[in-house]
Amino acid sequence: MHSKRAMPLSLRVASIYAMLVAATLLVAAGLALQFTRNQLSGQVDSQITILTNSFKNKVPEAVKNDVAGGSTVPNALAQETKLWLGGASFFEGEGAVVSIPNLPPPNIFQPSGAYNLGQDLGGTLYALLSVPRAKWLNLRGRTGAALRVLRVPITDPSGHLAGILIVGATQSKVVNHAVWNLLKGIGAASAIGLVFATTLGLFAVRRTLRPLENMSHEVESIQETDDLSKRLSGRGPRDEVGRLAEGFDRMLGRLQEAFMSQRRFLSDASHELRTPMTVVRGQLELLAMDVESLTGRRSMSIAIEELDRMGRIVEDLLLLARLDEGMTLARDSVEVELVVGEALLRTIMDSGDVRVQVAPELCILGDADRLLQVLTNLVANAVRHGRNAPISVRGWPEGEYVKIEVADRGPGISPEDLPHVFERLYRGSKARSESPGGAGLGLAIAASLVKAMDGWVEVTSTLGLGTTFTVTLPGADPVSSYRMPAKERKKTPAL
Amino acid sequence: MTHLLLIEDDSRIRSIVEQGLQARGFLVSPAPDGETGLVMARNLDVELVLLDLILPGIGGIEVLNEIRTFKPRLPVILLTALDDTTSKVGGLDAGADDYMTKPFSVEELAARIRARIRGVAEEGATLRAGPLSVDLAAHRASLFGRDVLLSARELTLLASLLRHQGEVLSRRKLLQLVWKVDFDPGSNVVEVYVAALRRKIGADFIETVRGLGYRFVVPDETLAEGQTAAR
Repeated sequence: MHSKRAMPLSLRVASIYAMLVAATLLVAAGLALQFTRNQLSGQVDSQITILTNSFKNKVPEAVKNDVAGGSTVPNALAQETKLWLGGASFFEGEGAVVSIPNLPPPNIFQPSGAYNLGQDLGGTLYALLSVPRAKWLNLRGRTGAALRVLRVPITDPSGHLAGILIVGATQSKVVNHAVWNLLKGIGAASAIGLVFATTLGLFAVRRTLRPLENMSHEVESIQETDDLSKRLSGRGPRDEVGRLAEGFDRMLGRLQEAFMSQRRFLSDASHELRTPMTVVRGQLELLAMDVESLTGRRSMSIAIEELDRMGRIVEDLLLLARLDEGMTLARDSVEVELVVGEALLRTIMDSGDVRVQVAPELCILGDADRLLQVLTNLVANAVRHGRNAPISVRGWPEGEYVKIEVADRGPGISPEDLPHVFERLYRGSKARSESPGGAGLGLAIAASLVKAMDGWVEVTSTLGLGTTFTVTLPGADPVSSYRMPAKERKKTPAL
Repeated sequence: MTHLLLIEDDSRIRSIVEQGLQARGFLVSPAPDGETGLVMARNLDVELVLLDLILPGIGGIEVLNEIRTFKPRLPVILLTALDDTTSKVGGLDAGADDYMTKPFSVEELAARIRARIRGVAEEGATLRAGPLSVDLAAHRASLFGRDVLLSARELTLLASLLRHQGEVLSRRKLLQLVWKVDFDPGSNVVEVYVAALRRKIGADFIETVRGLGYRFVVPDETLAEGQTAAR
């Protein structure tokens, strides 16, 4: 069941939540960047357009005058260009070039403060000059900077190409700088937001899941204590968790009722059976006081004996029933040697030869009375089947456990019967004819009792050689032995 | 004639116990429930109470506790169908002197009653020998004022040895006194228990008398120390 302890639900939900928030922030940041980038690009374009227009609008007049004055066209245009470049204000990264075909190079006017587009554009500029229509262009300069460029042909009134105006601005520097700044802002805000949202989310999830967590603790404690009268106390709102708690409580109630009625039945049955037996026994004893004849007394004693046997069987059945429903046994340190002695005293009487090998102070953790019952049953079984051959009882520690072995040299148990010896009322095909007495519950009870003390019983048997039962129980430290330290004698008054 | 009070709700049990005990020479006053039983226990001069644990109305344990408030030394034997270890211990803890599990033999019950009444007469509160003391009622033994953890059987063995200080007790006698067995089945249970007891209280208290049995003595040295300390 407990494979690996999973990550707490609250953490899992909170981390999923954090991931969702992070994804949302990422998308929002992306959109914001794209929007900003477009916005900034538009700004660059409109700036270029304004610059371009400020020149273009003046040129036709100049060119017209030139034509009217009969002078060469390029002079007027060159003059105008010089004026414009000197008067226009450029920002960093902007620049303008006017190319006039009939003037000898250098025909590029470059006022101070203006960006030297010609240098940057290099060969590209001349390529541009040959293209005759107005056009927006995205170029890459020699230094690698991205350039946004508007190329406008200038014509004289007759429609001839008088020159070409190129106005450009470095896009990357402006836009990227702004975008980078924006990115830093968004990044910092997102990080703070994410941390905040995650913390808040974890807190909220924890809070939401707390009833569930409490419930799980309570269920665990019910499991541990076997106390079915407990209920899940978390009376929260009637949400899913609340309904689950209610359902669980109802189930507990029914379970408890079932157990109670089972227990009541057992105690009632026990009472109902014992009372008549007590009465019959008392009556028989009373009657026996008046009986004179030998046969009459014999009949009486047989009747009482059988009644006692019946009493023992009832006792055994009730014990098994109680063990089934989880009877709790004492957990003391029990000296095996003493219990073995008692068991032998009860079962051997003067009939048998027993070899006992149990070290003094070998202790098990369990119930002394119940261990006595187990050993009595095993020894009685060995005596019954042992054909008067010596029985051996041995005990030894093995790791954290103690092994107690009861072996007989009887006829053994056949392989087909062996797996069934601990079954209730099971009697082997052979044993049926051979063994009087025993109701067939002794070994079943021994097995159940040992199991209730957190141990187990094993059996091995060889036909013709005998049977060995081995009980394994948790070991315990011996109860403290007597030590008389010298100072103890002086210190404490004896009487 | 010994006068007993029998508190038992089941009329069949009541009648057979009454008849059986009367036939064995006891005078029995029956009570059908706890209330009546308490009134009778208070007013009658009974020497012992037989008390059923499961009673209608006031339960057996409550009756027992109530009796203890006005007659703390009155012996009480519980008659019970509950033989769980828990209820046994619970009853004895509440101050019952003994218990019988149904179905019981009235003959055995009579024997227990006699033993209990004799016990009240002869048994002091505590048996003592030198630095050793055994409180049978409280199920405790102590040595130099310190508790010694003993099983019920070990305690009975120690008490039997203490009662017969200085006498040699044969295995057979000890089997009879401690294990209520009237014959020697050839088991070594006595030796095993004596050895265990020696480990717990010290070897010097129990002497082996070769071929005869065991004798409880207070070792001179210990006694001397004890007296010195007591002086």
